[in-house]
Amino acid sequence: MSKQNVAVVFGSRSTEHDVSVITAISGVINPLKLSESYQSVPVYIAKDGRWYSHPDLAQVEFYRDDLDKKLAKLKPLQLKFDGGLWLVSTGLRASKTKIDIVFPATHGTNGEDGSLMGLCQMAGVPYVGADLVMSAISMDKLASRRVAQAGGVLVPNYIGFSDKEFSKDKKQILKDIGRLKYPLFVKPTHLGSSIAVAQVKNERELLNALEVVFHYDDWAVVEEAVPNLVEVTVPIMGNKEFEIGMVEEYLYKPGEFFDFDSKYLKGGKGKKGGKSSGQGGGRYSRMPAKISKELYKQCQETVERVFYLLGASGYARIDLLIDSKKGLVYFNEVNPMPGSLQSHNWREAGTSPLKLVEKLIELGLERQAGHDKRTTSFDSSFLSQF
Amino acid sequence: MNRYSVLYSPKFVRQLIYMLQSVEYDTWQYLRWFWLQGDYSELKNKRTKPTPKSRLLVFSGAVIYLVLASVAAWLFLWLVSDSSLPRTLLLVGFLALIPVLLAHLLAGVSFIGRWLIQKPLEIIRKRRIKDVFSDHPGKVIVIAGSYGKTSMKHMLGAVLGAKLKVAATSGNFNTPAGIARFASSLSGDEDVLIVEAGEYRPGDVAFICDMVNPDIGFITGVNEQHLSHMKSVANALTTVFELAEALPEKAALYVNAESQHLEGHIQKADLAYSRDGITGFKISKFATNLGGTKLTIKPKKGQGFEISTSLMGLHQAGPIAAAVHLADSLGLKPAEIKKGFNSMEAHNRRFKPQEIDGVAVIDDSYNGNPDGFLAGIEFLKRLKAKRKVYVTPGMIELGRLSPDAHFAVGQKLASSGVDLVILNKNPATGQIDAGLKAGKYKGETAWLGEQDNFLEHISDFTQKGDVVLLQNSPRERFFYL
Repeated sequence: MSKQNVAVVFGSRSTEHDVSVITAISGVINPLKLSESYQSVPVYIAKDGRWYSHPDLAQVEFYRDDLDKKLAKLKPLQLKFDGGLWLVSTGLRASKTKIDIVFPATHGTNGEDGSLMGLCQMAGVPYVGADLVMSAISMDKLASRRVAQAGGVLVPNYIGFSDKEFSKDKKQILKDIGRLKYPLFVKPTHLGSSIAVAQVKNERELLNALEVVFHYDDWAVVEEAVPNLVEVTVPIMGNKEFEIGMVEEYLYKPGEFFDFDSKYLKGGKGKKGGKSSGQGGGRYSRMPAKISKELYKQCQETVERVFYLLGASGYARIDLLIDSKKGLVYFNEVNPMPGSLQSHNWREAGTSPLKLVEKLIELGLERQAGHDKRTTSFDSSFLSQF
Repeated sequence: MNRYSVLYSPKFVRQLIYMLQSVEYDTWQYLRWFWLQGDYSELKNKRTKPTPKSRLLVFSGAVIYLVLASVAAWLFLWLVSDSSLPRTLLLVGFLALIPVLLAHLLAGVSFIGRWLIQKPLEIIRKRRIKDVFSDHPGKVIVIAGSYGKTSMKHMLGAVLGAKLKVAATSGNFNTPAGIARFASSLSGDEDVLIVEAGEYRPGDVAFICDMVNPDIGFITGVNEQHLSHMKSVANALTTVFELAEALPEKAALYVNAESQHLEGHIQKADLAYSRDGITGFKISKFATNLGGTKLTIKPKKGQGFEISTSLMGLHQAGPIAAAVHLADSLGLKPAEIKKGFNSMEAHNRRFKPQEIDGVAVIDDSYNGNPDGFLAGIEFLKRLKAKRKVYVTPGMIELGRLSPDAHFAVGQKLASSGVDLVILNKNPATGQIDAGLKAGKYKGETAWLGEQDNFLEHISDFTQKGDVVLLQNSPRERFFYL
């Protein structure tokens, strides 16, 4: 039986471009090498937005030095939507590859935010992971907080506003923020990987942090810090029935928080198995989280609830904040495409990276099969009026 | 570089020498490999080990390459002066034959070098080694067999080393050159010398024994390994038993009674060892798992004692009994013997347990023989684990018995409770797959590329709680043919 082609799409015009390369290669392409049912086709979107596909793109070494020179030797890719999705390579040795399913492995804007999912949906091509709506909501911290709150999930007190609103009515917004208790967290609404996230203790720091946020994004969220904090993250996958991974506890020194450097530059997520051996030393997380059985169960239930409220589609990693003294679990954020698929977590839970990727692909195919059964045309006499 | 351009690049010389080295300069095996290889770009990352012989061959290869290139250039100029059809055909034909000429001329250099340089050197070397060993007061133990020699050497070294000064040939350098290096390293006051005798061709063991004059012998087992150049198990038996011929009368010869092919060849006077024990020592209460092995060994007269070692597997019982018997005969007390076993760690890549990314891995990647494979699978069968994973590229150099041996491995795996079998794609593992199907295997099978190293991808394919047994490591396709 021939293998199905899985287009692993990564890179893109995003501040998280480089992280996406690792997610694609170590999280998806490498595990799929052993798959009997699927074979990966790397599809790279460069920082300038051009698309490429070539076997060399599946090696991390390709991206290290002289990337532009190497890309210049490759032919840009063309996409053809003709009864599905085809990757077309032109020239003397022209070729066409039919794609059976797309595996989005981009992070951040122009991909993870629903753009890529929308493209696939328009083409009628199955794709892996969160669908268009869930991706768009998940990448918007304000929207996801509002959905969670409306569904009865606890969130820390927060205020959200745009840069236009802030410049128009700064006094009122600062007054509203004044009702929150310091310390506060200032976050860009649409970015991931903790880019431009800052903890602030007073108004001066708040203003500085907002200036940085508005450099990257046009919306900001300011929220109260959860006291007695234990920060956990939990991956979940499924369409109708859910499978939940381990409740994983982030580890960092008191006063610190889990920022971009901790996640990626201190040998955190970049290393397999979640073990850090970089400058920070020691492990960046532990599984299972060291919390009571009741809190552990509460975390799992909160994750299930949030996933359901967002549309329960495909895959996500949900971050929670626990007030360990009061035993309260707050929703923090959703990551519809976690770095390296959070495969180290699933491995600990008893699912190998290969099995994880294959399951996600099967979920994507199952979802598309469900969509294909639905009627999308409606006979009417509307046009006869014109 | 593609499969055609590589044949004309200077790197092709290094590839040919790599091949010569890999088949231990056996000219016929080398030429066979040359004609069967097909795509030489597959060998592009292979390196020769720098030895005087290989350096001489690199030099010769470079000279031959330059000569052939010069002839090609001269033919081209000759053609330019008069571009007739015969001249054109001659030039094209010569160009096409360059890789063949290079390979065969290099074979000729190797062959001549072997007879004109290596053989005389061996004679001189042999005399020197004989002098060293005949003057040495220590007991000389020679170990021969198709498999298990290094492990046995390692065990004897550790156990006897608890009380005695022991020196052993290093690594698997069991050739005359390796033994010469060993001889020159001796200080003269060692109590015991352990020599591992490699058998590549009939006469090899006799040659080594003639140099070292063994006092004690070990025959660890005979099977289909190296059959591609031994040609038959009968030849392998004859070669290994050259050790028995070389021993003095009434000298101790330890023989592995669990090796099927040795049945009928063990004499009454031989010390046959097995999982039940050995003459004068009985084994009981044997238990083995990932943490190691414990057993009780009781002499005919005297009290039994417990041995604890980090070595794993039922197949260790016989060699342990043999090592105890020898140690006892050399004056070691039970406490010293126990200490020796306690201090042992498994040799690298020989059934060595390790943890990688939360997964227990039994690294048996040096093991390439049928008995070793079956013993390893039997051990895996008896282990308790969330999921059992078995990985192999198959066995090499089994000659015409390769299909049956691999089929038997597949059948054994099918009934061993293994959940996932991962095979490197090559001519041999197809037979393992066939054996799995014949044995109605219920688990999963997955395939790696021919040269893929499983350990580089282990985190992608395993999960917490897995136990992985990795047997043998990938070699070039030729070795599986």
